[in-house]
Amino acid sequence: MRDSIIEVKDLTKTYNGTKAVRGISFSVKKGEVFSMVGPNGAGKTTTVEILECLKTPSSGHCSVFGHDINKDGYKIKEKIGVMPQEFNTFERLTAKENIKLMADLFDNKNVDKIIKLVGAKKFEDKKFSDLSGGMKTKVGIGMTLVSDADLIFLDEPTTGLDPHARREIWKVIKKLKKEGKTVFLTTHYMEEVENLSDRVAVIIDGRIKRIDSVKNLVDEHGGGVKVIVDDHPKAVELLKNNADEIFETDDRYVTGIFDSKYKARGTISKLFQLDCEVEVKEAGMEDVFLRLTGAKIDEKGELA
Amino acid sequence: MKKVYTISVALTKNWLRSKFGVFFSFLFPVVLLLMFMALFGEGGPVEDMEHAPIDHYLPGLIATFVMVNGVLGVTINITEYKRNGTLKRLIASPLRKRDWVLANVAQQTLLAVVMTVVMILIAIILFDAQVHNAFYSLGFIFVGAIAFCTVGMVLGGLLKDSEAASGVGNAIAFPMMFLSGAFVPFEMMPDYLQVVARFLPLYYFYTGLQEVMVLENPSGAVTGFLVIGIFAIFFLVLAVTTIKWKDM
Repeated sequence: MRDSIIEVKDLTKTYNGTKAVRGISFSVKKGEVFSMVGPNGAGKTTTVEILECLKTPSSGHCSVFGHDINKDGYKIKEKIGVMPQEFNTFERLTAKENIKLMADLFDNKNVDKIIKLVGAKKFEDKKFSDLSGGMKTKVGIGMTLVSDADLIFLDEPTTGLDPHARREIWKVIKKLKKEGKTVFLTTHYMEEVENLSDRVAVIIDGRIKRIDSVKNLVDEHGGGVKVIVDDHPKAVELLKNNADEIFETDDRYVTGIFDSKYKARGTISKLFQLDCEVEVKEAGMEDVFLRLTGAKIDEKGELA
Repeated sequence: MKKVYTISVALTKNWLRSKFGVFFSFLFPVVLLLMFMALFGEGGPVEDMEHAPIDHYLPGLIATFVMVNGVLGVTINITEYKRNGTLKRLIASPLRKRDWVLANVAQQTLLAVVMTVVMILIAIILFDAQVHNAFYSLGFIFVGAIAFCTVGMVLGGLLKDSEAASGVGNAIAFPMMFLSGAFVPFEMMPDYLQVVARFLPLYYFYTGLQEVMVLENPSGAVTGFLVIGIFAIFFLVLAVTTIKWKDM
């Protein structure tokens, strides 16, 4: 059993009477990539910002590296690396100057090493305001890593990035994992969760629905096979009669989840005989989320 | 202090690379000076037979510029760093709010002093201004710049966005400008406004500068120097205590 470096117990946060976080508890173990996944407004950023000592909890207890977040804010900040959501920095300083600025605050001299690690060498002399979204995120991660901390918080680091840039950032996160860093990641991209996480907390409406490894979650809640058909009446009827669970997630498509491939096989072959759109997928985190919450998350992070 | 220096350098570089920002920041005091000389170069609302118009108006122009730079410029800067997320990035580091306040005050004070010196040099070159007690004057300007920058830091810490900063900054700066006696002669004001003016820091900054720079009476500026010094310390402490470093 690895040691926990984050402990959260019965955490709540209320803003002007609105409960953003409703009594959540979890722990993060040393060396793991721990993801918190949920739609916008689920409480991910509030939770992570409480742990980063940027927000005060309404109640509950949180500790990072054994330090109480309400008492030892500065001690914690010296030991963690943080990339806040919608990260920004001095826009007329270059990528390198921004990373160096943060390095100076942490007394770290290894600026060039970090620039290389995050893949920012090519644009290190460009002004921050002239960089693309992906480049800015790399600078942000660079500014986070100069802390040389064992615990890195990345709050929705790939939101708004194109698929290529997103994968570039994943590479950096995988490198961090290889180096033994603990990464606390928030995201609404299921693919990101599947690719990077050791454990996942599914959060919605300020409550954690489930925490487990991706594999366990998919095995337990994902179902065996996911069959998606368009609104062809016969196809929908066939699916409704045979699938273990049915979700009508939007106007055009109906999703049927089968517990096993064997069970799905007969229905799929019948569906292919109909003149309709059929898509067969292995279950993943999207299905887990669908089953746990009854909803999907769209590209913008909203519930669909 | 190393962190204060690091942030001051970053703030200065960031400012210097804004070509429009730099151009208009230097233009403002120069335009203010040229405009006043065009309007009152042949004599203003008050007859000052002993001093040339430039000498009569220069302390008021300097005091006003330093005050506007602090109350309006610094406030807008701080709210903008807050709005665009730069401050959040810094707060998430081990930077302490005391260091953030000191770095901003240091950088903005230095800029205000440099721009004021440019203004004085133009006044000397173009209008043959007579500046007495240069070092004392510069020291007074330096303390005044600190005082008004700290006001900007307090307002910037309390206000959420640059729109609010602009509104509140204007609401404070403009009445203070007219009540200080720098442009509207003090004796022309009704008695109750003269009383109000004596509670405003700009009055002490302006009258003190006038005593040192124009009237060659440094001892007459001691009260102003002390008031502005105490004001600077009070608002510096207030800025450090009121700026939110959590739950922004």
